[in-house]
Formats: sequence, C-alpha cells, structure tokens
Amino acid sequence: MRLFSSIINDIKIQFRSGFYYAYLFVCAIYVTAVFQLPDSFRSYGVFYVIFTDPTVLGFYFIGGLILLERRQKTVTSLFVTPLRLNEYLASKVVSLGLLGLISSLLIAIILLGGNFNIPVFSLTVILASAIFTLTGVTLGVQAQNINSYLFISPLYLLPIVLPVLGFLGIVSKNLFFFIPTHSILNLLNYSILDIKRSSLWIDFSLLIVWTGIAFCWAKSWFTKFIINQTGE
Amino acid sequence: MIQVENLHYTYPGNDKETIKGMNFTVRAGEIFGFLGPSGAGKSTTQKILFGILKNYSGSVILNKIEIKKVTSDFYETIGVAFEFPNFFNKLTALENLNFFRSLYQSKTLDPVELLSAVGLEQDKDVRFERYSKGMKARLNFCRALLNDAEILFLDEPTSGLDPVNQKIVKDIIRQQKSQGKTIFLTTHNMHVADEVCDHVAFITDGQINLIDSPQKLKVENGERKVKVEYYQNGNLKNQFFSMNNLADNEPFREILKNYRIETIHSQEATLEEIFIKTTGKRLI
Amino acid sequence: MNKIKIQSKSLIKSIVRDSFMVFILFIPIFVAVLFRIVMPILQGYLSGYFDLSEYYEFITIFILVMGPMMSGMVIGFNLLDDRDENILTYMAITPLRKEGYLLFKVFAPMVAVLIQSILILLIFNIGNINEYKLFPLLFLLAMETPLYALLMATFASNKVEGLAFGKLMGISLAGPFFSYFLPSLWRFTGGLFPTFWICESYFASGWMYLLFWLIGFVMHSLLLWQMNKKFLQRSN
Repeated sequence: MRLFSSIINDIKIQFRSGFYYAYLFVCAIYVTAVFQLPDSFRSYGVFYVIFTDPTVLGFYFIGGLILLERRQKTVTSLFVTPLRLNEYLASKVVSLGLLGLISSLLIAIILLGGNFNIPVFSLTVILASAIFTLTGVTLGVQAQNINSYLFISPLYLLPIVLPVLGFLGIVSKNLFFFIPTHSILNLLNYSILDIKRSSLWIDFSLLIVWTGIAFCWAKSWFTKFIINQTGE
Repeated sequence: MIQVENLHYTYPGNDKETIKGMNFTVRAGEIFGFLGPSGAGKSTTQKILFGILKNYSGSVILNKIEIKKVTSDFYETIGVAFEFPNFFNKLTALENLNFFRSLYQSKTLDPVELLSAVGLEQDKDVRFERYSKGMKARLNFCRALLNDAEILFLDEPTSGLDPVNQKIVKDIIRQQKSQGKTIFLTTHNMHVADEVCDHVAFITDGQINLIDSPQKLKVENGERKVKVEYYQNGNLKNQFFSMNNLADNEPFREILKNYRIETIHSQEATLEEIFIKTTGKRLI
Repeated sequence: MNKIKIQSKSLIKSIVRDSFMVFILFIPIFVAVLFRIVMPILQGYLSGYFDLSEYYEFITIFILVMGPMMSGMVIGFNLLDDRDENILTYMAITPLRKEGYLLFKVFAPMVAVLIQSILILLIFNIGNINEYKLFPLLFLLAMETPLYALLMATFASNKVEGLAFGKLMGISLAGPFFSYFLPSLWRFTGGLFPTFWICESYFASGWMYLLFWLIGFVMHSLLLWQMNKKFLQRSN
C-alpha cells in the first residue's frame, strides 16, 4: 500500500514536471528519424535508439529528482513517516521504469509492428532501466548540482559501456560478459534483431543479480550520504 | 514519555560536539518547550529524538524503547513538523496531505478537516509552489497532526505566521494536549513558550541550562511589586509599591483615590529576561 | 548580518558553478580532437563502400552546433539554481543590477563560445572546409548559447523540469540534418530551428549565402530579444 501510493505519487510528479510530454515528443522524433533509414536498417535503428535512450532515461532523470528532493527536503519529511527506504527506492525504479517501458514499446511497435519478441524485450528494458536508475541514485546522493551530475556521469558510466566495444568487434565479445550491458545488448539483439541465443536465462539471471547489487549499493550510499549526514 | 540521559552527539566529519551532554525528561501529556537561540542544538536534539540521527552516545528512551533500535513502524506513533515546510511543489496541498496520509497504517485524520481547522480549506486544491510563506507553515503544522500521533514534535510552529494564525495554532496545540498528547516544542519565541508550555528547557551551545515551569520561573525571578501609572496635573507619572499588604498601603490608596489611573502591572520577570539572566545569551 | 553571510556563501557557490563552465567549454573541443583521430581510421575501414570524406563539412558543422547547446544548458541549469537560492533577487539590489548580472552570466560566454568554435575549426581542419564562409556563421552560433540558457531558465521552473526540457531542446540539433539531408523545399520545415540556417547558409552560394545568413541573424536576434524579455518578466 505504501509502495503503491509512493509509485502513484512519483508518477504524478514526473507527469507534472513534463517527463511524459517530453518523451512523447522525443519518441516522435526517433520514429521519424528511423523511418528515413532503408528498410533493412530499420531494426538496427530501433536497437540503437532503445539502447541509448529509454533504457538509460532513469539514470538521466533520477539525479535531478534526488537533487530536487534533497533541496526541498522532502526526503527528510518522508523518513519520519513509516515509509521504508526500500519502498522509496523501489518507487523511483518502478516509476521511471514505466516511462522507459512505455517509450520503448511505443517506438518499437510503431517501427517494427509486432515483429519482435515483446516479452523478452519488455523484461530487458525493465531490468536495464532499474539498474541504470539505481546507479544514478548512487551518484545523485553525492552530486552538488545538475551540471556536475550530468558531466560526471559519462566517467561514472564508463565501465558499464565497456561491453559495447565487444559488440563493435574491437575486443573479444566475452571479455566483459559479467557487466550488465553485455546481457542487455544480448537480449536486445535477441528480441529485436532476432539473433538466436540458446541461453536467455543466463543473461536474465545476470541482470537480476545486478539489479539486486545495484539496489543494495543505492541503499547503502543513500544511507551514508543522506540519512547519516544531517538527516537531510 | 521521553527520557534523555547524558546525550552527546557529533556530526560525522565534525570534530566539535554539537550536543554536549543533555539530561531531561518529558512527562506524558505535557507540553515541553525547548528554548534557545539558533544554532544551540535544538533541531539536532529533535532529529535524535525522532530517530533520524542514530550515532549518538548516551540514552534516549521514547515510550520505553531506546530510539536507536526503533524500526520504521515507530513513525506510526509520532507526528513531526519541521521548521521549514517541505512538501512536493507539483502537488496541491490536499494531494500532499493525502499522499503522506497513505503512508500510515494506523488511524489517520481527515485532511480536509485539518485544512479547515487552520483556515486553508479554500486553498486545498492550490499547488504547494503557489502557497505563501504563512500558508506553507500552516500546512506543515497539519501534516504533524495527520496520523493522530501520541507524541508531536513541533519545530517553530508559529514562525512566519500572523497573530491571528499564531493564535489558531496555539489553540490547536493546547487542544491536542487536552486530548492527552505529549508535545515537544522547539522555539526561540518566548511568548509562545510562555503561553503554552508546562515546562521549558533553556538550551545554549549544546547544553541545557535550566528546566522549570514558566509560571514558577517568572514568579521566582520577578520582584513582588506593582507599577502604577497615573495622571497628575496632566503629567504621566509612575510609582512602584511592594505587593505585601497592598490593601493597607496608604500612598498607594491615595493614588487610586485621587488620580486617573492609566495602568497597573505586577513586576514578574518575562521569560526572555530570565533566559538572558541564566544563560548570559540573547535569543536571536 | 547572518543573511549577508548566507548570500555571499551562495554567491561563492554560484562562482564555483561558473568556473565549471570553463571545463564544459573543452568538451566539444575534445570531441573534435577525437573525431580528428577517428575519422581517417573509419574512412579506411569504409573505403569501397562509402566515401565519408564527402560528409566532413557536414560533420564539422554538426560538432560546432553541439557547443552552444552544451554551454547553454549548463548556464540554464546554473540560472535555475540561482533562482532557487534567490541570487537573482539579491543581484537586483546590488550595483550590478539584474541586467548586469545577466550580461555577465549569460551573454559574456558568447565570446568564449566564439573562441571555442574557432579552436574546433583549427583542430578539425580536415576536408575542404571554407573558413571564409564559415567564420561569419560562427557569430550566429555564439548567439545560441544565451538563447538555450534563457529558454531553459524561462520554461522550466526547477531542475527536474529543466531535465525534461533539455531533452526537448536537444531536438534543435536536428536543424542541420533537415538542411543537409532532406530534398528540395521540404527541408525548409527545419527552418523553425535556428541551427538550420547556419547549415543552410554554409552550403548555399553567392547571394543566397548572404540571404540565409541574414535570415539566421534576424531569427537569432529576435528570439534572443524575446527570451531575454520573458526571462526578466518571469524572474520579477
């Protein structure tokens, strides 16, 4: 019940801050742009768009949300209610994941029709989004302002991007198999580009384990930097 | 209700103690005032009392539980109003209260009734970002009452309010007390403390200088005299008389009989004067 | 006394934020260096399929257009922070005045962005870029920095809205794409974006070059004038 009303509250605030309008527009632009590509490149276009935007939007927005809540001190007032930190974080993950999922599905369905594996695709976007949102929490609790958040984040995310090198054929693909992005790329490959894979469950289990790790990491740094510091 | 023994606290990364050994007891059903200038450690003590700051030394027992060990369920039983109103800007006053209400499993009060009690019923559907300072302060006060908690922590509940609303808030505080609530009130406004508190503690520099009831303090520290102001030949004059045997005091009776009296005041000390006398510090 | 202390603390914070700006100015230059190295390598890979060098001029313009977007957004977020801390109201009562503060904070970086784009041109000097044609366009480009900053600070009321709005503003980078890739008259729909005219002008010749530069200049100036007015209105 607490979790549910927290999620509704977060979605309401995100909606009123213009997140949904912004993404509707952004999706429209992506769709228009990918339509310009030759047919044989279309699914590659979708792959690229989904991987670089809706899956990581959680990271982009969570920094601002946490900085604003720190500034307005709503965080402090939430933690003198029965709301648990677990629920607070889960609510952020779910609300931003929903925005990511809706935009991803919108883009993919318009561009590919039903011609992709919707369940695998959706689950991948949800898990990837959760990992990125939670990683964003760990940076958001320390950042001084949005600008430093946005410009430190490329360095912060550098290790996560390493598997891309593997997929571009620059290094061996399996070198970074344990980094979540490896699994995300695999699963998007499978669901959008229809590249056969026998072991989906390995990628999914890795992502689930990483979501768990990211959750614990976010929780401990939230406690360390916000709750223990001044209670603010 | 609240027992604090030998409380020390240092903020992480600070080498100076913010709270330097406090001892006090708040009895169930009383209004306990924590008075002192800004930066004396009032808000820090409060944050320890409701369990946000946990790395203290000494003992803080609330409702028979050591505060370090409480779980989130503890927050079902307390109501908190911070000094600065902190709500979600994008939500209306009512949406804000409804959201906070939904976080409690225990019995809660109707937000609309609370809003009308502080005169915000008309503005319940206005977004928080459009609220004025005084409206924000009143909404903040409402949230503390939302879960009908046994213990209320109110940080400067009257700051930023005009006299009319100050009175409304003070009345509600007294009414909460009559319902058996325990109220821990932090303020640097001596008049408010004087009017509502059963006991006050004077805080300076992380320490308690004195705890007593305002009534007793005022009498003990005052002089047993009355000051009479009167007109004599069109000039305003004043004279002091001892309160002992005032009825038989001849010069006093003369004045009452022959002149037009402007004012008569007993000369008990104000809380503010006592504070300065005991702590050597001014309230800012 | 206390109030002045708090204000000057905020002011120091604000200056630290501004010095961060200098750091941001180097990012597009860094990107230019990176492309300078990567492009010829990529060209080697692609030779036979695709002649990348045909697009060098377009890529240069695209990198140039990114510069003001980045610094404009950074200044926009700074202004939002300043508004949170009431610095703007505070500035209104200093000798600098609100307008002076804006001049210093929003319009002065135009010079920095101009220098930045010249540096990028010097570094990313591959292909047959016509510097004489591009140089007058850099002035239009520099005007985009305060434009993005004021757009963000006017239409967003806090940093979270700023992020959502920043997402929308990113779309203005599409201007050069409209100009370069869309056929015939269709491409003029991109004329809504100020960035469109920079690209359009560069690839035009003769009188058309001058005409498009002028249209671009009028558009940039009008928008800037309007946004400056709107921003001052909003901060009152």
